[in-house]
Amino acid sequence: MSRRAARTACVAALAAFATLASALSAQPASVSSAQVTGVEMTAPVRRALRQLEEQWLQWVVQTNRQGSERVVEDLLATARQIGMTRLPDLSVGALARAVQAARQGDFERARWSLDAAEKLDPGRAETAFAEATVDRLQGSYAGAAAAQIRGYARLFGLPLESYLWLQNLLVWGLSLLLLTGGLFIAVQMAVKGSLLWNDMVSLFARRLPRPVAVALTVVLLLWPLALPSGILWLPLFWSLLLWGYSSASERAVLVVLWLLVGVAPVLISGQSRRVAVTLSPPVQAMESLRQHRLYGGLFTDLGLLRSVLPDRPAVRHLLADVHRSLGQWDLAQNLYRQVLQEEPENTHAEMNLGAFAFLKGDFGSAIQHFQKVATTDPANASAQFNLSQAYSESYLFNESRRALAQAREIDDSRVDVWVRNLGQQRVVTNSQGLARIPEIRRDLLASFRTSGEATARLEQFRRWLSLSVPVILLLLAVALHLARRSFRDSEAEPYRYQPRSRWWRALLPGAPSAEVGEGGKAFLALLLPTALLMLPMFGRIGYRIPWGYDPGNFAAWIVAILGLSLYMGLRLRRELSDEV
Amino acid sequence: MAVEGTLELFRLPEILQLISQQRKTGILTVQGQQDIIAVSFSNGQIVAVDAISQTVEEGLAQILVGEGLMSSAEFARASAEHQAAGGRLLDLLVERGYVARPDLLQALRIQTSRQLQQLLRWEKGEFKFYSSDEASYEDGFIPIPVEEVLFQAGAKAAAPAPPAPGPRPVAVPPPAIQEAPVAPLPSPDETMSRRQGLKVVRREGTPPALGAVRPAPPAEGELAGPFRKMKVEAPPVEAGARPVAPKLFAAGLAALLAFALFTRPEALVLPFPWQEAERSALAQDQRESLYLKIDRAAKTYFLLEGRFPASLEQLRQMGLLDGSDLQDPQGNSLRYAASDESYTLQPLQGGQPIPGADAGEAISGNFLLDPEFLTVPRESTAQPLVLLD
Repeated sequence: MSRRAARTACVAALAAFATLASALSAQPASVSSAQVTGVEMTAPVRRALRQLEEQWLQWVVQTNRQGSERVVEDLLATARQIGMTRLPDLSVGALARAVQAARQGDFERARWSLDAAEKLDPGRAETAFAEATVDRLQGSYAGAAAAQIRGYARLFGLPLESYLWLQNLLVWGLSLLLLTGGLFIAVQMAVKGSLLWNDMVSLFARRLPRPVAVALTVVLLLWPLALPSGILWLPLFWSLLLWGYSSASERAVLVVLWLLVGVAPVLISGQSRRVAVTLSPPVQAMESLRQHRLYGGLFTDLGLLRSVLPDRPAVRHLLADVHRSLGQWDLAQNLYRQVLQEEPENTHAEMNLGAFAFLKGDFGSAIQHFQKVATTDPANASAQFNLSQAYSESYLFNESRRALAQAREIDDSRVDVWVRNLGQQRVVTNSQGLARIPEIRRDLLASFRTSGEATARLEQFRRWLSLSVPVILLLLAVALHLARRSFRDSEAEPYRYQPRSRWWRALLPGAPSAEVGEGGKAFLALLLPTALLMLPMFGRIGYRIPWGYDPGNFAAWIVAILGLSLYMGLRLRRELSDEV
Repeated sequence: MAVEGTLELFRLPEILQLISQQRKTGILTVQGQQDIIAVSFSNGQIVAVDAISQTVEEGLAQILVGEGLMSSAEFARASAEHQAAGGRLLDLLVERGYVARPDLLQALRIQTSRQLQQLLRWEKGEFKFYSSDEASYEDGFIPIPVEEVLFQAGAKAAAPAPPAPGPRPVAVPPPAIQEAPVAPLPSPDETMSRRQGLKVVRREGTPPALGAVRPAPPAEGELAGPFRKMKVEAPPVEAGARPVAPKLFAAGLAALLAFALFTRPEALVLPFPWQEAERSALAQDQRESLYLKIDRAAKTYFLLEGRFPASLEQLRQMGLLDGSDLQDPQGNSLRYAASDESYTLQPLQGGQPIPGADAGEAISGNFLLDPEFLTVPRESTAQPLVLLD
């Protein structure tokens, strides 16, 4: 389901929820409907967002570095008003503008645009990639290479991008191992297939004319191609036939390959669900909140979260924290109360309710909330600290001193920090709603692509069917081996050594090792060139990483070409050398 | 290219180790005071040893009879049959059922090891190593690693002297092998010049003449050397001796796998026919990630230009997309259509839209792009209240 479709589908749910929420909380008229803005917004928050939009337009028309820096500072100050520190959309916009300027030859503008991009969302890989493009356009190829490397080093700073990169690594790695496995079987067939061929032809030629025996052998070797997914069954079938001609290490490689064929689908299926959830707008919104990143669709995506999991207290707790960080305490209070109705022992929600009462000047209520937290969690230093503040405001100085002493007894160092910050913050709040993001992700995962019981059983059956394939193959191989032994006087030789020409060995990785029955070495010899050949496909055979600025595939091609040249050069030198 | 020297300069274990470490293929000839021995290497492993003082069959006969695999009478009968029938004695022994081929190969291996142990005792002589493309040896012979030979030599040197030196006593008369006229010792160069560039016919084709017992006049394509008599033929003929079909099949499989990698990569990791649902889910997730990338790029464009781009190509030119992003992960082209405030994406297969794979986005819901998203009431002037965590 696309993002737009998802949004459309949940409009009705949002509307119903918004109606319910407004009935429960009787918000002021200036609060926007969740149906419009995803989450309810008070006028000051909407004004701050509007200000961001206007300041961005100011940045776009800037013509010098000083103006740009001033507007960027304003943008960040406005974002901080609503508890955010990074503006990723604007950062990407700035770096796109930088590249645009560089292409027009305005490298000064390109540089300060890049600086703006870096300030708006520090540490983004895309900024370094864009800088590499600007450097290249300016003729600084060393700088471009350094920036490109810096970009890849920054990869793991972005949660979605790094997550997708790691998932791509899994897909690419499994594809590589399976493809190498297929090539390993192909090399085995090339090296030892003549033995298999001769044995089969000889067997059939006992009762049939030789041309018929040859034709029958061809048919028997190729019939798996006629099956659905024949490209899978053909190498598996050949691996069974070649089992009897393989050495112990080659058989070990074949068994590992069979296991991989069975396990890979299970891994990929599990991964697919997790990736789909990660790509969903609610999860992106949560991850952005965690890193205080404010992107254009953040609030709409948060609204989707509420429509997808309407009854989860964890979601309410998270949204309460969002409202609190936006300064919308009235909205936050309602949600904290709903959380407490379902989780009466939730001290974090209780604590924030107490903080709200304190800020309103309702110190009696604040003391009640903080006392409740202190009773439920006696080791909570912040509860005792807040209690001391509330007692102090209520002129209960003895109680205040006792509570402060108790807080220091629990955690003296943190109390020192709170005391130092008293000028900015009288009571301590918490963001445990944000800390419940993993729990919400699990809930999303559980509710994602759910199917009926019958379908679930069918899925389970298919999964076990995939896993049973390696077991069946192993049993078949052993059976074939035993049957083959019974037709021979003694144990068959594991292989018959038949050295080929040097060029054959040099140009076909794995062949020399296959000739002497070194299975592991043959597989590894194939793995390296296959990995280099597949390197430019990294990200193409998995998931596209939604870079704000695409780094391109140039680096992968360079590594692949250089690596392959070096590898083949070394092979040729080793295999074709005449001298001792 | 050859390397040569004297055993006083280089000891034999060192020479063997050097050849082994460099995985050389070729022949090492060592000329001692009484004998000349040629050791054949393939990829640094020993595959044959020939001595001028003893034919392969002579040595083999001793081992076969000594190990009890054949009686001397059987060997004499086989020898007589061989003289009548011609061909290779070794093949005849197997074909007539005197000895199983694995036993014959094992005996050959034992003989080779013994000759090597004998060679390692030499302290004087000259050696010469010729690198070549291929080494000739009996088909099925399991190569002997140099380390194994050196280990055996070390073990023998460390062990107390046996009461009866040499192999198990052979209580049979020597096999009836026709004596060859004594030939003068050929120099290693002569030997090598006969062996260079020659290849042995393997069992799959014409049987090789490993140690053809007595010197019948060499037939065409057959070379009678002092070490071993080999039936030889030019490389193209030998290449034809191996069936080409398995190699073609192997190449076909490799091509099919490469084709699958480029056209249906998901079929590599989800290969089973019953996994269509999983493949569809994976394809959908891959499309979602692509659509997210395109959406980010399109909205960045909107942020700068105030409208969506007319085509995806514009996003590629700005560096926001890669060329491969203009197709969906399954290689289908993407139809892109933009209006003032929204755009749609539709993958096409054979010119037809793929059902359920389309997507669309709009500026609504994005406070940076949608002017209608935020409407600030005039009466509200209060600053938001923020607490630091």
